[in-house]
Amino acid sequence: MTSTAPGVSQRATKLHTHMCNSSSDTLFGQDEVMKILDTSDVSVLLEVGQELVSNSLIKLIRQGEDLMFQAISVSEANKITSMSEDEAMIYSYIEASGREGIWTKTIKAKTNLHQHIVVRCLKTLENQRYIKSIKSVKHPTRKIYMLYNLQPSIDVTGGPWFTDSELDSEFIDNLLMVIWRFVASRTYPTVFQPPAANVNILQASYPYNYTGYVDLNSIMDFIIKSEITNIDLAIHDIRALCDVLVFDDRLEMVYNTVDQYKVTWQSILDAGYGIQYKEHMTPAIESVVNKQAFSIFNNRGGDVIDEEEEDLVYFDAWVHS
Amino acid sequence: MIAELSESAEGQSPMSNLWTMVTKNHLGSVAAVVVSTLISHGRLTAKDISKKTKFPLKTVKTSLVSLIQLNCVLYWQEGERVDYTFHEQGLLVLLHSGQIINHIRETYDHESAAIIQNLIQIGSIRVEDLVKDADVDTRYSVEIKLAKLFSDGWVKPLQKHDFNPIEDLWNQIYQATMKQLPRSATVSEIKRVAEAKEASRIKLTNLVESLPTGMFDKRDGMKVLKPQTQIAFSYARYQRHTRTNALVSLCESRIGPLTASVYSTALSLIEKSSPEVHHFLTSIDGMILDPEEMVRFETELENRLIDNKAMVFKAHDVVKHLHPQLDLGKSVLTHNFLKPETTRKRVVSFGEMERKLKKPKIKMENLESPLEQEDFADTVRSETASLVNHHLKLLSSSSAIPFIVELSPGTFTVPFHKLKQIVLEYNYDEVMKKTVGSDGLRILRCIKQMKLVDEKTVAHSVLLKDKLVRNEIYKLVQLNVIEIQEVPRSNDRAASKTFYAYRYKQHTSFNFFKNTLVYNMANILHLIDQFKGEHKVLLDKCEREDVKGHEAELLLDSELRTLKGLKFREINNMGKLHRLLAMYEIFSRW
Repeated sequence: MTSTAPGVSQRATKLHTHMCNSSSDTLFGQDEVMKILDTSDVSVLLEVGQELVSNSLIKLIRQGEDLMFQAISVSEANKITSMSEDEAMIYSYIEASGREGIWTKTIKAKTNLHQHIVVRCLKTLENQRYIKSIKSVKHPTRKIYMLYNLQPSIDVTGGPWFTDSELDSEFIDNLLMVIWRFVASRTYPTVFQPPAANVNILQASYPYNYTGYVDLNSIMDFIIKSEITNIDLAIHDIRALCDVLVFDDRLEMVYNTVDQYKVTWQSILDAGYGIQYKEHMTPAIESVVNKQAFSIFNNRGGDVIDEEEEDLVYFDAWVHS
Repeated sequence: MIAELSESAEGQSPMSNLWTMVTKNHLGSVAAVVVSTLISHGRLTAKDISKKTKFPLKTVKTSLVSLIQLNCVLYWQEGERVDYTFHEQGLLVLLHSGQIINHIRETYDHESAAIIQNLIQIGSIRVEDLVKDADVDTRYSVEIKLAKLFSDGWVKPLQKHDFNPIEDLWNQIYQATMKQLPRSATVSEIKRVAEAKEASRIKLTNLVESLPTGMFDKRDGMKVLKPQTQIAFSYARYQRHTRTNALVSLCESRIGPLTASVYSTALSLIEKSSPEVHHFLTSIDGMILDPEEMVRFETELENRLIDNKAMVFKAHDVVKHLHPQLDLGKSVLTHNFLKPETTRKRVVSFGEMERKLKKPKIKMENLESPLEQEDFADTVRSETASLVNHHLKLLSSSSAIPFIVELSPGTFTVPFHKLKQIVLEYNYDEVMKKTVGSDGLRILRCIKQMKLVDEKTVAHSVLLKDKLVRNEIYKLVQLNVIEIQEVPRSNDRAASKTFYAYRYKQHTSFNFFKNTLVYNMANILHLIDQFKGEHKVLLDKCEREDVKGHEAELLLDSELRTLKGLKFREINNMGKLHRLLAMYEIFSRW
């Protein structure tokens, strides 16, 4: 509830107060306004309406064929009345752009003002904290403005993966690791534990008909319950992360399912797990693991032989030959 | 004779570079020049080779004899004219010789390995020549080993057509068949050609696959090869073994080492009778025209083998042939495995079962009845069978990769033609991961999935920074892994408005990768040659009769150190060469 600006008639104040009691984006038709004013005389409506428009207390909006009225709060009205004409015009366009924001070039085109004037007005408005400049993920080089009190939309901020319009790689990597660990613990539950007597040290897999693999909902539940992040993640965000893990060949879809995942054994090996048997080598284990010929899957760097420079061969040697 | 290899031998193609180097190392520089000439010209007579190489005809012919003997060159005679063609199989055998001999030694014994070594060294030999210097006992033993190697497919009888190019054989049979099918008004030419093709196909298959009659003798109830049988090493059999290795490696990386071990046993049961890695019909130009026909051909081939029960194995056969030390116990998790040890139903490991079996045996001598021992052995067998069955099920239905297919309960087969493509893809991805890193792999797999995609969409899907994505894409383009597709947005194709999409083309990428492997292999051989050349004086000194065996006394400390360094470098480089060769073996199937 706000007090109306001084110099406004009682009828106008009554109408404005009534309109302000509804939510800020409510539009009132001509009939409704006349009902509030308790009159059937159009000239009264014209008079009161003109008074409020002159004091920047209502906005006229055309909706199809009809003319609609929207209330402007007194503080907002004071703000607008304190602005110059150019500033008010620029402000109105910025306000209309909502949470998407508006590019300076678009402002210039729409207002038809000179570049210097636009820049000056924007500076004034920014200094008064009426508007703010934001960075768009889609167009990082553009200077975009929106109202000071609004939060930029997901399209502008880029969603949960962006912090200050920069892709937050660390956050994403940590989430990926957490999801991978969670799925791994449900796919190979013994792999992160020290060798125990109740499982085979070389491999302990679930039977082929096991159905307890994780789906997107259980990953989501896990992230919410464990309170890993305070950022709200939707199910499609989790799917995007799982897709990335599939691209990394760290996760794979469970055969013949829609969104159930399991980790790949190769990813377990790459992460340094599943090879505890190396510390407990017995002839029986050796007979199983050491009889293989060279395989690229088994080659995890390991000891680098100190080689002569000219003995090195490079993958792209043929390209540069 | 001093023969200099021309620069074109190295430069004309990575293949030429490698094959001439291998020939030079094993057969000398004259043979290398002959091979290089044949590679560049395709098909030549001895006179043409002599003219092009400027070697005397006699030298060329001598060289050709050894090259033909080792299956590095094939010949085709039409009337008086004899044409020679390069054939890489012989050189592949020479490159793989160490691994082949090692495998035979591990699977059989030293004597069998020695037989194979002789066959690789000489190319082909008569059985009587192989055993002529041996005493009676050794002769008997060699004949038995040879019969075993023969029945396992490692040794094959040498036939006349082994020295002829398959395309010429096909052409000869096809032309003869066409002559036998006269033109008629009622049969269209298309049908006549198709009929001739089918008939020729059957004739050629019969010719290549039939074995000469009367190859065997019976001695002391044992089947042995007749002394006059000419035998050679079967490279096709070794290729089947390398395919097994590739499949087992993939299985180990996707499911785990124990399942891979079970898979290895299963594959070894059908390895001998599995379809050839390179079927001779597929190497004839125009025989199989499109990929769909290829799939149909391979499926038919496999189905025939399945119908004949040649490529089928049963779960209990796998149990019988498992490695005796393989412990499958507790490898399949049950739902109650997390419960405390005391309340859990105990699954006895295979090793434990063996131990248990031995323990009661001592007791039994005094107390227990033989019936109880039999019962326990039955339990052990059924537990192992159940575990093997679990692992076989994991192979058949736990992932999108059909390692095996269950034909009927307990009976399985291996879909080799489907797996060929999968093995290639996973190996390629792994190489990429090791070469361009995990970010590069992520981007590559994203492009693969999205078919044709621009940089922004890739960045959005892989959740990596634009700059990083651009760098990684550049690396992938540099290595010919992905291709650029230009998408113009204005009529004048202005570069400022054009944007670029990326796509992955398997055929191009694999071919490039294969050439890269071959180029690097050749480079390694050059390198070994080079550093040996740099220390030729010292190496020649070591080869002298008076120095051999007395190096420690006759050589200086510095010379011994250099010698050790050279040996170390050679071993390192040979190791690298064989790793590349292992990869090449996988990609040569493409």
